Amino acid sequence: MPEITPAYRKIASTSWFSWFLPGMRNSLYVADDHLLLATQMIIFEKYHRFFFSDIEAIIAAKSNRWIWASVAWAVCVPLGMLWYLGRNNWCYVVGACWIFFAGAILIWNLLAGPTYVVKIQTAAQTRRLKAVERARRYAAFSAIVVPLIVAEQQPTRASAIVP
Amino acid sequence: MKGGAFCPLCNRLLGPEFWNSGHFLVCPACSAQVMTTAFPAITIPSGASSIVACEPGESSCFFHANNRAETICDRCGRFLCRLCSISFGKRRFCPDCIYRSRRQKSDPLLIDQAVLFDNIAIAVLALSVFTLTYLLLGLVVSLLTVCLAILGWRYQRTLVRRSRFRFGIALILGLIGAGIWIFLLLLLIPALPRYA
Repeated sequence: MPEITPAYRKIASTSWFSWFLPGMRNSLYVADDHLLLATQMIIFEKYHRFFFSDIEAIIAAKSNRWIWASVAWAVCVPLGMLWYLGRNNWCYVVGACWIFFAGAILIWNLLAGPTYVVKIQTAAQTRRLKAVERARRYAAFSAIVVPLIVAEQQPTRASAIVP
Repeated sequence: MKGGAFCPLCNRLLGPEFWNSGHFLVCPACSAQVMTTAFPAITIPSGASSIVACEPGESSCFFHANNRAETICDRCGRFLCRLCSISFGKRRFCPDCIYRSRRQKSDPLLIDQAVLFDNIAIAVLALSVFTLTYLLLGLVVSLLTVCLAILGWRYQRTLVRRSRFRFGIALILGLIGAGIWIFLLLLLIPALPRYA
């Protein structure tokens, strides 16, 4: 890369859960004039740029994904007790580990909060921002990015609209 | 794309009444609760639709002799019409420069993907173990992992900073595997029956 690479600052990334799901690992970086979405596809990392001057909208929709995930993990926790029917020390250990991990993921999911589906839209592309699909992360992301976009678009766009 | 935002769940067009309300509103199509943060760019009409014909005495586009030049390429300096001018933030390029830069990977702004050698090295090792080919080709796989880790350490160029931790893991596992295989081979070769 002969030209100087812009300095990127990481502002969000998908949780540890996405390490095990190919194509689900997304990270968001911010540079001086654009937002960079890096999507990891096992052996590739794909980049999408959203220049602050081009961003038309950021849209978030509430999703029930976290409720269904909580229900699924809540069902998994008592299922771990079936290992205790084995009446064997190894079965007890596996059962305890099962309950611990399922319970930990359930608690983590509840603490992480509600899920959204977030998309960013420009004139040329619309992309999903999986890295900010939790309520708190979306709020933090908006607090960083929205002022930058507004600052970039306000003076030039206003002068462009006025004849 | 102009004229509004779209619901992330059903892709229905959300009109100006949904923009910047500061709270969630119900999508009329799918009943999802949607919050739209719209920016001034959403109201700007597309530039490609307003191409102006070139009058005598005016500069014309390098690629379209009939179109009036509106801007110049920031890389090669060619005159460009609105159709040929592709903006990357504040910079504008012609299609030729974009094609050339992407092929040569000379401009970080135009790089759209990177190969992750560290993941390839670990994947090769993991796949061979899971498919049990490691039992047959363990030495080759281990050496391949080491080579990939060394090559990747030198040539991997990602746009964003990436930890070298995976390279270290791949290198250590590859070296341990190769060492064990070489040790086993040295142990086994003298034990093989000799047909003199």
